Amino acid sequence: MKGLLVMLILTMAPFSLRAEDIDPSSTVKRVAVFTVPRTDPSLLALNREAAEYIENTFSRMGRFLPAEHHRIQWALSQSHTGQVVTEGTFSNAARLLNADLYVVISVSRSPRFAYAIMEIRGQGRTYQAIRKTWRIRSRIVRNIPLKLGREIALFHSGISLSADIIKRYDDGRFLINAGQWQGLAPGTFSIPGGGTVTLLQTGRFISLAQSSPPPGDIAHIDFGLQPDVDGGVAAINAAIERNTIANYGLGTTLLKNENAEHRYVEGLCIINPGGNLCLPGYGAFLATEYLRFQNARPDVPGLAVSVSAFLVHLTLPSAATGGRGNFFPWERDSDKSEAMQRLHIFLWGTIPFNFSVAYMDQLAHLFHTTEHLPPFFEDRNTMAAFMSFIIPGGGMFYKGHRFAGWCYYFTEISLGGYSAYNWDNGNRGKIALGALGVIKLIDIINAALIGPSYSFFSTEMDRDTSSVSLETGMYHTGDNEGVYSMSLTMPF
Amino acid sequence: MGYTAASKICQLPGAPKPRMKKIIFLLLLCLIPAKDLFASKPLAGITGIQSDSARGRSIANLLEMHLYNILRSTNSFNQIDTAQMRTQLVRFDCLEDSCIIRFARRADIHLVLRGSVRDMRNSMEIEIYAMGTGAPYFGARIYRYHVRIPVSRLSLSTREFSYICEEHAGRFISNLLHRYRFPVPFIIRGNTAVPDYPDPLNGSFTVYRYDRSPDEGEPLRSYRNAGTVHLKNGTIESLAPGTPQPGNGDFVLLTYEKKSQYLTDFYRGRKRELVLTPWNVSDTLYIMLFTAPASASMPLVVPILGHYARGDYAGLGLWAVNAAPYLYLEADGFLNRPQKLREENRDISRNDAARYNFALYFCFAGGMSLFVDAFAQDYLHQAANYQGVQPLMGNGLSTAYLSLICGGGGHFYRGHRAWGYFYFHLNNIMMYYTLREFSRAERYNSATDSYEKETVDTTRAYRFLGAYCALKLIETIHAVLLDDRIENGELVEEQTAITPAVLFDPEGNLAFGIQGTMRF
Repeated sequence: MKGLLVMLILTMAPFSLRAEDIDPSSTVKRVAVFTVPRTDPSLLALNREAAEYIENTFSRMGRFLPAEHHRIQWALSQSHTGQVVTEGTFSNAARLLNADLYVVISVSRSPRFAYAIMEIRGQGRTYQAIRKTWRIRSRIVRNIPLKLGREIALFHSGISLSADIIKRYDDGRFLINAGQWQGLAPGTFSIPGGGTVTLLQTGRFISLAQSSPPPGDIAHIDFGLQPDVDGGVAAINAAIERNTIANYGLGTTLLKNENAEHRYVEGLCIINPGGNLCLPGYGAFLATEYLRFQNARPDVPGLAVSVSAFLVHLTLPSAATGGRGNFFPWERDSDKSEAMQRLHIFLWGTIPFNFSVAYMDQLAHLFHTTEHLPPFFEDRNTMAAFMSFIIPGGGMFYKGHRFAGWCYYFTEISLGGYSAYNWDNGNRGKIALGALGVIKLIDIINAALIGPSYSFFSTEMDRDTSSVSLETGMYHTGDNEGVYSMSLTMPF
Repeated sequence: MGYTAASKICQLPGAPKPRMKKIIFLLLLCLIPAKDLFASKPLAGITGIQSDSARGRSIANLLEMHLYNILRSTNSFNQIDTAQMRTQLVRFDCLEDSCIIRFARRADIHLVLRGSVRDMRNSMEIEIYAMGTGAPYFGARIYRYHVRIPVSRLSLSTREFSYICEEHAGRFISNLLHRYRFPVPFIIRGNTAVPDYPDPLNGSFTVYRYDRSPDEGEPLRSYRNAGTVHLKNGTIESLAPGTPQPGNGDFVLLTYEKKSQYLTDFYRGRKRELVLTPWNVSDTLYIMLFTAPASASMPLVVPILGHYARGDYAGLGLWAVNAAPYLYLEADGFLNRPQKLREENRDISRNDAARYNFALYFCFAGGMSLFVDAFAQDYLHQAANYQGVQPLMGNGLSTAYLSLICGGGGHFYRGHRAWGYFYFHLNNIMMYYTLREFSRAERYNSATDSYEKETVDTTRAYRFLGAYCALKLIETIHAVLLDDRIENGELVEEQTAITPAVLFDPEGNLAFGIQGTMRF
C-alpha cells in the first residue's frame, strides 16, 4: 500500500522540467538516414543494417548527429502520402526533422552481387549544394554496410568543426553546440584567423567557452579541427578485410574443420618436395590437392616453365661441358673445372627452391581460379616478406603475382649461379653476390608492400569510384498501375 | 504535467498523449529508486547491451547481468532494474545516445552504462561505455572499454562465457570507478552545511561552487574551485584558509578509487584462482630437474612440438630469427671444441674457449628460456580463455629461478615476450663476453709438445661478472614483479589519432599543422 502511494505521488509529481530547457543534442547539425522500403526480408534486414552502420559512421566522425529512429518514423508518417515512396517523401521528412543532410539508401540483389545506391542531399542554405550518389556492389552482403560507411567517412574529409554560439552570458562566456561528441575537450584552441577559444567545461554535445578577443556579434566559431577520416576508414577497411577473408579464406571454406595453416606449411615443406621428387613439375600441381581444392586444373604454362627451370638446374653444367663433365656435382673430373663444379653444386643445391616455386605458382593459379585466399592472409604483408626471404619470389607468388615471382626467381638464381661460378675470378663473384643481396632486399620489400592481385579480394576492398551503372526498376502504384524506370549513374 | 515530461524526453512533436501517460507511468515504476526523499548514492542504470547475432545476444545478457551485479557489489550506487529499463526504452524507441542522455538527465540518473557485442565469427568485440549526467560530465562519456575476445579453436560453454563476461565487466567497472566523480552537494542542516550523502565522508575535498544560480533550462552549468574543506564523519572539521563557508548547492566531487583498486585486486586474484595452480615449491623443483634436457632439446622441440604444433607462427618466426646466432655459436663451440683442437695440435684462441663454454651454457641452461616461451605462451593463452587449470604456471619462485638461470626465462614464463627477448639477448651477449674474459688462450709449443696458457686480466673479468650479476638481479626483480599475462581478450586501442592538418584561414592562406583526435 505504501509503495502504491509512493507510485501515485510520483506519477502525479512532475519532473523538474523548464519551459526554456535546451536539449543539447537538438542544437547539433543533423542528418537523417532513410531507407527505400523493400518487401524481401533479406533486403529489409540489409537495409536496416546499412542504415545503422551509416548512422554509426556519422557518429564516429562527429559532425552530423543522426536523427533518432522514433523521430524518423514520425517524420515519414507525416510526409508519406499515397502508396509510392518518392524522393519528395524523404526530402519532406528531412525538412520536418530540420535535418541539414539526409541520406537515402536503396539495396538490391542479383545472383552474384548485392548492390546499394546511396544518395546524400543537403538541405538549408549551408548544405544545399551537397548532392552525391554512390553505387556500391559486393559479393559479400555483410560488406555492403561497411562499404557505404566507408564512403560516408570519406565524405567527411575536409569538413572542419564549426560550432554555433547558442547562448551568451553577461560575463563574456557563451555556450556552443559542440562538445565531446565532436572531439572537443576542455582546453584552449587557436582558431583560424587568430584568437583563442578556451573551453571551460565540455558536455557531450555542448560546451561552455570564452574567447579572446570576445566573440562580439559572431555567431559561429570555426575550430578548424578535421574529423579522424583516416582512422575511421582504416577501421572500416579492417572490418571489410575480415569479412572478405572469412568468406574466401581456405581456413573458413575448404579447410573449415582443419588447421589450414598447418596444412599449408606441410604442403610446402613435406608434400610438395615429395611430389616433385616423384614427378618434377606436375608433382607440384598434385601436391596442391593436399589443400582440398575442388575440380582443380593445372596451369600448363606454369608447369612448362617450372619443368624447364628444373631441367636447367639439373643439366646446365653437363650441357656447358658438352656432356663430358660428370653428371653428379660431387664428382669432379678433368672436364669439369673448379668453377663449374661450384656452379653445379649451386644448381643442384637450389633445386628445392625450384620445387617450392613450382608449387607456389600452381597454388597462386588455383587461388585465382577457385577464388580462395591463402592461409595467413590476415598478416599477408609479413607473410609475403617472409616467403620472399626464404624462397626467391615467394612473397610475390603468395600474393598472386606469378610473373613477378618468376622474374625474381630467375634473377636471384642467375645471380647466385654467376656468383658461385666466378667466386675466385677477381671481384666478379663478390659483386654478383652483393647484387643478389640487393635484389633479395628489393624482393622482400616489394612483396611486403605490393597489394594482392586476387581480383575477388580487390573487388571487396577497392572503392567503386569510376563504374557507370545502369539501373532499372518496376513498381506498382496503389491504383495497380505499373511504373517502369531506367537510370544511368556515373559517380564523379 | 506528466505529459510535458514525456514529450520533452522523447521530443516528439504532436505525439499522442494517452500513450505517453502509460509510458510515463511505466517509466516512473523504474525510477522509484531515484526518488529517495533523503540523501542518496548516485543512481546508475544499464540501458542494454546491443548484439548482432544469437551468440552475441547470450553474451550480451551475461554481460548485463555481471555489470549489474558488480555495480551492486560496490555498494556505491542505487540501481535501476536493467530489464525493466531496457523494455521501456525499447518500447519508447529511445535507443540512441542523444535520446538516452536526455532521458537520464530528466530522470536524475547519474550514470548510464551502454554497450554492444559484435560477432566477428572468429572473435567477439565487446564495447561498453558509461555516460554521466550533471557536473562534471553534462552527458559526456566517462569511459569506453573496447575489447576483442577470441572464440575460435577454444572450448567455450556458457560457464566459460560467463567467466569471460564477468572478467570484462569487472575490468570495466573498476576502470570506470577509477575515473568517476560524483558531485555531493552541501545542504544546510540546522545552521551547518553538511554533505548530502548517506555515508559519512572523511578527508580533504575541493569545494566547487556554481557560478550562477540554477538558470532555467541550462544543460551545462559552469562552476569553479572555491577552496578546500576537511570533512570528518560527514561534517565539516575545518576549512582551508580563504575557503568560504559551503552553502546550499556547493558540492564536492567524491571519488571511488579505493573501490576501483579493490575490484582490480579482487578480479585478478579470482582469475588466478580459477586458471592457475596454487603456489607450489615442488613445481619449481620439477622445472629445475627438467632444465638441462629441455634446454638441450630446445633446437628441435621448440620449433616443431612447441610453436608449430600449437599454431604459434609468430613465435616460430621470432624463434628462428632470435635463436639463429646463438645456435650457430653453440654448434661452432661444440664442433671446434678445445679437446678437438688439442688432438690436432692447433692453437686455442680465447674465442674458441669462450665459444665452447658458451655452447655448454646454452646447451644445458641458456636454451631453457626459448623452451619456456614456446609452451608458456600456449598455457597462458589457455588460462586467459578459461580452458582449465594450467599446471606449473603463475609461480613466483619458478619465475625467479628461470630469470636466474637463463636470459628472459622469467619474462617468457610470465608471458611477456618482448621483455623476454630483450633480456634473452642482453643476457647472452653479457654471458658470452664474461666467459670470454675468463677464458685463457692456449698456444701449442711444438718443441715441448705441450700447451702454454696465456694470462687473464682478472680485474676486467670480474667487472664483467659484476655487470652480469647486476643484470641478473634487475631481470629477476623485474620478472617477479610483473603479472602473468592471463587477461582475456585484446584491448582495441583506437582512442587517439595524430594526423596532419592543412587549413585555410579567412584570408585564404594555407596553415599547416598537426592535430590530435581522442575518441570517448
